Amino acid sequence: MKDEVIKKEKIKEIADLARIKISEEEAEKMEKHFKEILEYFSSINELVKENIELKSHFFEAVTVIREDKFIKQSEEANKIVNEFSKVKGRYAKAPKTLK
Amino acid sequence: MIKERVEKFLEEIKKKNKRLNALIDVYEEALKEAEELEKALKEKRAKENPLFGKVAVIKNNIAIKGKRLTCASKMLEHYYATYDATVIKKLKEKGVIILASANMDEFACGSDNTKSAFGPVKNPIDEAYVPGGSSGGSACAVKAGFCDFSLGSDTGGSIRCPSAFCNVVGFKPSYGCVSRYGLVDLGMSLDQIGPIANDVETVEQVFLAIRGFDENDNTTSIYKANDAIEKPKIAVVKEILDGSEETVKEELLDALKHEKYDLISIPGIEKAVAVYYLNVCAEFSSCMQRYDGIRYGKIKELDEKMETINEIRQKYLGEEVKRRIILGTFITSKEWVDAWYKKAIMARQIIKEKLKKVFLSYNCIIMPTMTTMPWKFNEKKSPLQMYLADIATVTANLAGLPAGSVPYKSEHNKGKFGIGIQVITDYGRDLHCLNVMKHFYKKKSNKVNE
Repeated sequence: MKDEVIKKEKIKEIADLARIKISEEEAEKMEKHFKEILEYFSSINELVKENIELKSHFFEAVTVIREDKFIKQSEEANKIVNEFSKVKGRYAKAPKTLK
Repeated sequence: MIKERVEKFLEEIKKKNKRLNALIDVYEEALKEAEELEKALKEKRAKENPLFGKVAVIKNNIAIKGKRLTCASKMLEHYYATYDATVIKKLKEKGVIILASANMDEFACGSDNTKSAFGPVKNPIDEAYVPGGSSGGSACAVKAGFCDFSLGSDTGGSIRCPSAFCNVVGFKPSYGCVSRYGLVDLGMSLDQIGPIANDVETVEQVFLAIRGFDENDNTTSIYKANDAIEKPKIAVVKEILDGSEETVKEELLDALKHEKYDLISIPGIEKAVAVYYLNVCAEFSSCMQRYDGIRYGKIKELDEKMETINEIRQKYLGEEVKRRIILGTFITSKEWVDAWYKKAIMARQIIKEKLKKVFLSYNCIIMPTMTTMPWKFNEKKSPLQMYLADIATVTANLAGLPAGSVPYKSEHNKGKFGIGIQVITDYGRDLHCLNVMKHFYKKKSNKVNE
């Protein structure tokens, strides 16, 4: 793990997964930074000597449920619609997912 | 009376904020609010409430209805909050006047407030130096005399670091103590909102006003307060002290003169930075998915092609934000999730257990908040160097413990800056933490306010 380097092509692939179109320069810069960062981060292996059972939540929370009651659409909902970038009626306009 | 105070703060802001850049938006209508509150001065709620008429500045990742919620990012430059965060609701109910939004590192990603899309914040003690981050604007505003107190948020040290560098008091409550409803997420299992002020009493008053169960934030169901106050039984962490700059070490040891304490070792604690950044990047990459230019920010470039989302995120998000998103995506991807993210969660559990053990024999841990003194703007730091600055602060977030920073300056310290003394106590023991903070703040040897 210590010697792995994420090449800039891989970084562009990951950025694509994260929906970010990074530039060639940025990918090159990140290759350098990631090498340094991941080399340092691999020190956690010295801390974790064997697998520990993982819980689904780090802090034990209590489930809190509200009453299953219909709440009339509030003024807040209109305000939220007003913040959309492109609007049609009460809908947010989004890019086409199907060609 | 209240109106005069608001006018005075506005004057200070006019004089200094252009240079310090601590604030993003100033709310002039606060004067009108002050007038209204003055009419209510004779009422019960004014008399019973120590915060009535006090003036606050709020970090710009906390929602105030009708006000810009930029998170110091171009992505949200034109986004207005549609509701009040729970902490804002509570402060308004207590008669607090909200005067301005504070500048910060973009989406809270940073330790020196140089990563804001609205320009860096300067240290009010000496403008050649950074104020610390990511709540740099909040700490600067307090020290510069723009308000009575401010709210910041702390995920890996973002309240405590700027409090140390600006020589003010800052406090991060136990995880789950203060509602995060209305706080823009950085790391959902690590974030807490907390107060910053010039003295511990004010910080405590604000803390008591904002804490409490909130049905809008289920993580507040975790919190069980243990308000008992005890005499401090101090442990000082050797690894952090040894890793500190000379001045920081000397100042801390000066503060500990005449105190009874044990120097203890927590092996592996230096690895907490790695554990923290792995956890926070994973969580951050997840919560940032929503910023696609569709629902938030009134992004004009949004068009019909799916590519548009990738282009918008590239254009509107800053370098550090993108770095953390990509890193987080990498470590949670199928190929690497076992080697990195799952290991990081295990490592976090191990650190939590180590700290729990310390509190079996001691009731507070004292260390420097920052292992270095503030750095100058022209001191370039690589991303990793920046991450390492958080070495003393991340542990409290990983374990969910209450932690605060108290400014301290010995009489031998002829420099401009004092240091921040960090106090960490066991989970739920927030009031005890604040009490120990008071103890160090009030020490005769503490010359920070002279």
